[in-house]
Amino acid sequence: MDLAYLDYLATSGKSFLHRFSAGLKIILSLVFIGIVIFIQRVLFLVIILLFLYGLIFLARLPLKKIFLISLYPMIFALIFAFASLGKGGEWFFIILLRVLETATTMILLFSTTPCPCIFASLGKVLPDFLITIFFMTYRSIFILFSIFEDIRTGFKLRGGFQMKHPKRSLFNFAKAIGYLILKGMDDSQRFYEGIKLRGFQGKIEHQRRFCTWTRR
Amino acid sequence: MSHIHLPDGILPVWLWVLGWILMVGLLFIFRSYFQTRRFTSKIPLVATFSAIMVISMSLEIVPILYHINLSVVSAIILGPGWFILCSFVVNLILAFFGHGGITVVGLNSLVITAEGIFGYFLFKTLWSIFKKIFWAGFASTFLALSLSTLFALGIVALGTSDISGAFGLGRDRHTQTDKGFLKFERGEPEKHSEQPVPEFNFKKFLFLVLGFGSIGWVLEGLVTAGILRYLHKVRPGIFEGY
Repeated sequence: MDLAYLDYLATSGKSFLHRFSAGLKIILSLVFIGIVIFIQRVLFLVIILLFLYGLIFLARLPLKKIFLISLYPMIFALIFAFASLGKGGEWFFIILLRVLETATTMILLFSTTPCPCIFASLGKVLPDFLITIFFMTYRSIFILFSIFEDIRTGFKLRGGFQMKHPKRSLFNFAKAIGYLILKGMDDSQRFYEGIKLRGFQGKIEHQRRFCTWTRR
Repeated sequence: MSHIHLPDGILPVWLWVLGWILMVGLLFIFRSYFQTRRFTSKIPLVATFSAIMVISMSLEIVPILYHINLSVVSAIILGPGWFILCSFVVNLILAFFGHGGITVVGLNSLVITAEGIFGYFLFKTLWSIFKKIFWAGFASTFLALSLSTLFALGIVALGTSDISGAFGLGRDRHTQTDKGFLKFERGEPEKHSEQPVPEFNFKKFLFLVLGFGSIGWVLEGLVTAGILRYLHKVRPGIFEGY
């Protein structure tokens, strides 16, 4: 899963971009996206894309891997761009470049800033319960994904996806997801009991000092 | 599967701003409901289902980039109120990782919320009438996905109805370049400047989305029905107790 990989890049990196304040990076990323979605010239968009790739290079991030991750939203963008071919070739490239650049900007933000730092910064503007859910979701993603890895092994041992037996494959897959849901629900209940015992008051306290220049 | 994976920079500003306003408004309406229950076990449960939805969206059913949402399952277990929060968290996290745009988080959340809530009520109704969990699950998921896809297509149709005006492309720029340097009028106006600008081909878009989408509705319907049947067998009462 790309999420774990981006998280690893964010926590292990030591470049100047990694050491920037999380709040500042969020603001700059949003401003950058705001600029990109209003640009209507292919040349300017290409220059901005090169600038982004320059930042990735300077931050010592794997350009090829980040490029591949940023291609995911291109699938839907291609359908949209294909339907917009009547507007001309320039419009087609404008759509694709805008999508690539906004996705690259977000991936650059998340590969240079650990998620807890981002959530802690968002905590200044968003309600506490929302930030608590973000922290818990972030934690659950990694726990559930490691559970799912085991389930996937079991699923493969039962034959995995077989085009010859689509019905059986789909129902085995459904059972695997069902089992993941049950494990997740049990884990969330145990987690709740644990944090309640430790005095959970509907808010998870975060340590902003882990996100500052001096600490890193 | 049905939610619009529309990235940033495609829809006009007024539309995605409206999406954000509506979604934030919806969350604001339910704010006191969430605030008063923030000490309960619902918060970790919403986080768990958000994580499950994020993981499920990264899993391909068959190697043609189809993925499941699990929005209907999540809405059935969480209930409609908490599912609104869950869909917002999921879409925001997905946008953080480049899966869908950050500007369209509001619209995407509205689409998924509509899908989940419609699926929830449909499942409850069909299950009470037919007493068959599998077919109730399949029909409710299939119909909820169809509805949310139509909702998403409606959003795209709204956004593309005046695409040239919204993005300043096409006719406007034509006139600008035809006027020459320092906007002095040319002696003879060019004939093609009066021709209508070709519109966004919505029919082609509709054909592509519904074509690919309908296969996905059946697949997700079957998987969701299988999940619901499994959950009901392993833990009876799961759909009432949470």
